Amino acid sequence: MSIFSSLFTRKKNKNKGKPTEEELFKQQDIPKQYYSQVEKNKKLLEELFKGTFDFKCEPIKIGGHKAYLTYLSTMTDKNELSNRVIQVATNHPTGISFNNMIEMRELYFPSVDFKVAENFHRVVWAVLNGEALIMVDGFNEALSLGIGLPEQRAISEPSTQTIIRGPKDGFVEGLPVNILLVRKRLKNPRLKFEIYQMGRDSKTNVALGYINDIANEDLLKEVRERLNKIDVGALLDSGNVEEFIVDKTITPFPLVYNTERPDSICGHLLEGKMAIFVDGSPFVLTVPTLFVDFFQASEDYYQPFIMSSFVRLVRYSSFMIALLFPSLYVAISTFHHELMPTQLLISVQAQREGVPFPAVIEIIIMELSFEVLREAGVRMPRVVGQTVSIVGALVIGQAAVEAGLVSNVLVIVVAFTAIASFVSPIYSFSIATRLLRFVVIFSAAFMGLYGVLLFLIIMVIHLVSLRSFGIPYLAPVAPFQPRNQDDVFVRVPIWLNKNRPSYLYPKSPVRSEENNQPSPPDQPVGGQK
Amino acid sequence: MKNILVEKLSLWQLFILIFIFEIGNAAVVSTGNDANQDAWIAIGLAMVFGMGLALMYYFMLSRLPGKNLFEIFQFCFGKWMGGLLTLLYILYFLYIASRVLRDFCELIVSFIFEETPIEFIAITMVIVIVYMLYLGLEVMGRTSEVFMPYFFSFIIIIGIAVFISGEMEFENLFPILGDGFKPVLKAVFPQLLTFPFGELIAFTMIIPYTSKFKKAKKITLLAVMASGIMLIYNAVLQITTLGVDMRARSNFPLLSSAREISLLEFIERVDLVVVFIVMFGIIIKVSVFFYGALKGLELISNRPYRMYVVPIGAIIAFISVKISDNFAEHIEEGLIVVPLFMHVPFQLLLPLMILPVLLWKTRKSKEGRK
Repeated sequence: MSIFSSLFTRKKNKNKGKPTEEELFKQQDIPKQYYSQVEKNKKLLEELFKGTFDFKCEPIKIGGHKAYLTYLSTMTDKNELSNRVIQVATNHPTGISFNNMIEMRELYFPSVDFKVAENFHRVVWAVLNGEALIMVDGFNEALSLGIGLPEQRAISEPSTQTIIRGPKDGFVEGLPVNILLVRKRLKNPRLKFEIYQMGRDSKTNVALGYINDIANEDLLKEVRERLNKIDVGALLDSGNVEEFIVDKTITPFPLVYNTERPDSICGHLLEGKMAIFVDGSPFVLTVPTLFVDFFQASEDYYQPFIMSSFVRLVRYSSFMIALLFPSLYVAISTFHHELMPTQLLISVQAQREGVPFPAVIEIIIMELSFEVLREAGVRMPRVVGQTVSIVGALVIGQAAVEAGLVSNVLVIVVAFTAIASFVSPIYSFSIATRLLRFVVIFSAAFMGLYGVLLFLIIMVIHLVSLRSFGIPYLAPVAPFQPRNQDDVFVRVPIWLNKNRPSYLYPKSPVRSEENNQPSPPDQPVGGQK
Repeated sequence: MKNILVEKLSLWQLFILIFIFEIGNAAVVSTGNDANQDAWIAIGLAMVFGMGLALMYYFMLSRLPGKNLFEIFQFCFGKWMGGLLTLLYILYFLYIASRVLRDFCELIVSFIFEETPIEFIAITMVIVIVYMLYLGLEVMGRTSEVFMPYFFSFIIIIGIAVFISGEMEFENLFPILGDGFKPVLKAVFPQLLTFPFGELIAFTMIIPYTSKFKKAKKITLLAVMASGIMLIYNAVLQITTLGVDMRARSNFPLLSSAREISLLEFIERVDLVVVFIVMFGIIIKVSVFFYGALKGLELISNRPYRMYVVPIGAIIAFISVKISDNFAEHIEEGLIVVPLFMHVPFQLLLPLMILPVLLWKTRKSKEGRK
């Protein structure tokens, strides 16, 4: 595994082991010391949360001890708080005494999720996470009770990767729910989730999920290292994490896969990849990512394999169409008329007659207006959606042709290209094609088909030079690995796909050993002869 | 020496590189014209001799596993003499790279962009090659892996398409050996043996970097054979489509043959496909020679070769433009002067002279180890 050693020596990890939780608020100059005199702590907390209306610090009595109940009223569940904490505490103002926090919790709040906060950073962290904090006088620890308000969107169908057959649930914004969706599918004790806190100001929870006996140890180490290195103001979406962990930033191609579908994440985990969940984002990342991942939809595995193989080939060709169709039009209609059959040439040229622009200007105008239309369609308020689509279709399609600004053939070219660019199952990949399309158009306008070929070769050189976490981006096509071809251009039936892809160096390379090809029974059914 | 990365090629990549390298420009320019309708026999014969050459090169490399040709020079003749030999080979490689590049420029300028200056084509091609070599040998291997299926199938498809179009006349192949063996031999030596098969000498800079050196011998021979068969197929295609005279007169017979294709009144003028084959073949061929020269520079100056990629690339583009004034001159040099005065010494004589020294030196060092 020489590729790893060369890759991994490049970075030295500054903070080994568990990175952030202990030093949560170090950068913000918040003291770490927790005092056994509860008044002191209260003062510090009140100082810190000054000017916040929802910060509550109420005196209570527990087991004869003086104590403070601290929480953010906006983030805690009021019912839970009064039923399970305040009532219990006030019902036993002089109850049984206790020696430490764990004992107290066993006596008073046995049914509540808890944590012991042994320093001030943890105390602040607990309050910020919507936990109710009990600081008792005379103890140098505090008890935090998990009664946070689980306020979030219900699990619903993913909005980006819709499928016809297969599970319809999608990830939501909450990290625990997302992990639940994966755990429900993979009942495996080896499925691990490591938690990280990132972002100086946001302290976002980030979970790294993997299956211990499948994922490669070196890869895992590299992923951990890159996650540990992240030092950022705030993480608002998994897209922010993505930018920190890619191998190479100057490339139009996405080097990290993202999906809203739990089943797709499970599939990737089972291949030996790692998943990165970011709290607050319904898009979960998987690494390492390969080019071919962007052509595999999870539905491929739920439909008959012949059909999904065909669909996959359609996807690859529509990638090429989305990339090259407009530039081929420019090249052929500007430089190489002879490549078109005469009949076709005549009808194309007849249409272009009267169009005041050269083909390249024509296509740039149309492509640009399509980009504008697409962007408007994504950003605009839903209510005005119809207006834009009517205006777009009428003005850009019909009126432009009727006014003689562009030719009919060109509208067909642009429309077909646009449709083809939506075929990619992952949106972030179609962005790459969108951008590169303009580059090829210019290249074709200057150098004709020679330019298109030059562009293609340069693009492939760029693609093969990319790596995702040390794995060649174009594997298993280049470097060619005949063993891993069973799930690339076509999908073989699941009973034939017995091995995990070896380019990920999985710890256990075999999915299933048995030859379990379905076959008709040996004896005729019903005993007839 | 930390920045000098050792890159590894897989055997499959080596196979593809040799295959594309051999076909490269040999498929498009007319070769073996001396043998008339028997050009394909001449190519077959040259292929056999070429396999012999490949064996010899491999034998030289296997005496000192892991060392490339230039390191062998240094081993045999010490730093100064070895350095001088290396320098000669570097110049040879650069010259051949420029010639190959010029072939392509001429093709584009005479067939597609008649009014484009040749410098433009040379520079754009060199930019691609420089980019690829800057990223390294592995990237070159993987790039050729991606394009190999198209490269291979396009050549096959052209033949089938010409056949279906009904343009092939197999009478053109007869009489077989009508003038005896003499013209065939004349075509084989020195022209066909040295171009394309002898040019394998450039792979002495690459074969040591394959991941399984021991199996590289078999792969090299297989690749030479495969490319030889492909060239035979190609020659048969050209002879049957164009006839002997037309083929000899045509500058780019494959292109002329492809122009005969007419299928369903829709697929006509598939020049683009041929240009693609040639373009990729040329890119690989130039890159391999270029890489050999760069490796030599790396050895002489003890600096990573990436430093030299851009300046040397610019030089290649310059030489390829200035090498000759017109296509006729270029081709005449290529068919008459270069094989005898450049290919033969560098591909045959020098290695044959070095071989005994190498054998003697390695024998001594092996005894010393015992």
